[in-house]
Amino acid sequence: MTAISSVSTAPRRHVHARLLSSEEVAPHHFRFRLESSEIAQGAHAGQFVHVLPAPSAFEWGFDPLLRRAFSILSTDRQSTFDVLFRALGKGTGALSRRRVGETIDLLGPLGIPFDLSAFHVKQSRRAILVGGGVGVPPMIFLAQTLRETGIEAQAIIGARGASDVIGPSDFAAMNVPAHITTEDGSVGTRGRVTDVLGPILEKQSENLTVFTCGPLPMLRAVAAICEPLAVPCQVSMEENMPCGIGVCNGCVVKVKSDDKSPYAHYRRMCVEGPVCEAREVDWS
Amino acid sequence: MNFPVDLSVKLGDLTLQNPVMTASGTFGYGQEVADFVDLSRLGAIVGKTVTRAPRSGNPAPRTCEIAGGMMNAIGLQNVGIEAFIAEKLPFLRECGAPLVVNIAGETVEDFAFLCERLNRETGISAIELNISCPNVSHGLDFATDPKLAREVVSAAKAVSRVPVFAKLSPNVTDITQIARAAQDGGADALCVANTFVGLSIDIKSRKPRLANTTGGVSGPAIKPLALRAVWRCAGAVQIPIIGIGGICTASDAIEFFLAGASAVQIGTATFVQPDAALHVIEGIENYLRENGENSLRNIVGAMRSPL
Repeated sequence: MTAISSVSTAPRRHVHARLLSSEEVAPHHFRFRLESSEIAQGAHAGQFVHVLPAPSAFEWGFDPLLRRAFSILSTDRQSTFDVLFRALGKGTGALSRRRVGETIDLLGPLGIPFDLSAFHVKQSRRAILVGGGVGVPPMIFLAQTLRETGIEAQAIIGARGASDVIGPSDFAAMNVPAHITTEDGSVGTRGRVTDVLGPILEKQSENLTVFTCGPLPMLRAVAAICEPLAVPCQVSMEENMPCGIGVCNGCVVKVKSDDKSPYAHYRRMCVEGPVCEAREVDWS
Repeated sequence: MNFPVDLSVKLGDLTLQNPVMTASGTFGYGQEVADFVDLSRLGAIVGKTVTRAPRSGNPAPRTCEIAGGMMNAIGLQNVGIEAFIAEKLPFLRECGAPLVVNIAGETVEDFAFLCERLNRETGISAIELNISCPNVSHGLDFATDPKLAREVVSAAKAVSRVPVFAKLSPNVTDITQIARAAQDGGADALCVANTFVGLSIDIKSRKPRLANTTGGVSGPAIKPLALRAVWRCAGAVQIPIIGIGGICTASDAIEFFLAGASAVQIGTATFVQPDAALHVIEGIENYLRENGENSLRNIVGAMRSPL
């Protein structure tokens, strides 16, 4: 039914990836480099891994209980990949205290990636990557992929303040111009990503595609700017995700549908997302 | 010590190679999990609930994590019986594990209709009546009223050519009354139990954390509650009991056998560890061997007195 669901992906695996490095890149924000050739070679931008905070569910008595879904930030296409997460609660807190050399139990690569083969992307000369908060990592992986395919990209990074800004050095290393916005104005433009995206699209909205990941209000605002200008927009959605593999029907997002079957109105983000065409999502 | 250990279990006319099944709604229709689990090693797969017509389910958020568990209010999202038969059953039929089809309806007639429809299909080992979903209207009704419970079970038994299990609700004053009613209706086994209805509130927004307001609590947090329900039902009926509720490890499962369950289902643990059920099977076998037991049957209901 959708272009995106036709993207072919590598087999999903249950792997034990060695933690090669752990760095607190901003307060409470941890970047892990993990070793797994299956993920490093198989993953596409927009896909995620479902990570167990504990070394083993059985050893820790299933406490904290559920896995945590993190978008893949980058891979070396050989043997390592990076993720970035914010340590907020019990699960991510426990994960942030894991030591280099330990193995991390994870499932991946999971989900439908960004679709770069779609007709409109091929027609596009440019891509604008809009990331907010911990929604920036998949934009970094996407920038890496776009560079490999020769599509010109620019990034807009949103954060609350200077200490939450993720990714400027990653984009700089790829020569992708990145415009930073912060709500408190402590760095970059004071305001929101849409304050920067709006004027760019008003000036030139043809032959480009917008890709975005971040908090729901931001995604809704980005989609609302793109839709009237007929700018193709792919969004990576987030919803509480217990299983990550398509069995629990928990992580659904409501989508518009011409299909009369009521079943089609909710889509599981772990297997039918997290990337969706913005125009397919029911933003109400 | 390496002697054969008999893990098989008989539920009505159905014999399973081992007593570990996947709980409905936690294993999809098998195919979703096949990348991670050798399905042929399972005692049985219990599929996600199927209804007469497709159901879109509840709005999101549908799940949240709580201390020692999680809550869900999925709302029986499913493709409906005809699409289930056309799209899901062919894989399940070939996957190497016996299939238990879990069905739900709003009326007694719905349940009978579904049993009759499934009679025309091959590859179905048993039917589980979901009379206890807490997240839909007309879900709990059958499992909270002994008369209705008996009626719906006997209607299903009257038509079904495979064994019928009744999945009871723990959200009742006295589960043994419903257990006896389901036995009187002819149930071949009882599934004890389903999730416990709960509520969780985000104090920042002061909104419930589930769009449905309330939801079913599952996971380790409910294990002692489910275990007591199994123990009470085991004292009240003669038919086999399938224990369900927070079972993550073989030790958990063994507690349920000691309390009187003949088989178990693994639910929420699968979300954490897709092959949790296989670990449980292995652990049960090891426990029996280490304790010199040559059959699972030896430990069913073998809890000792506290003194």
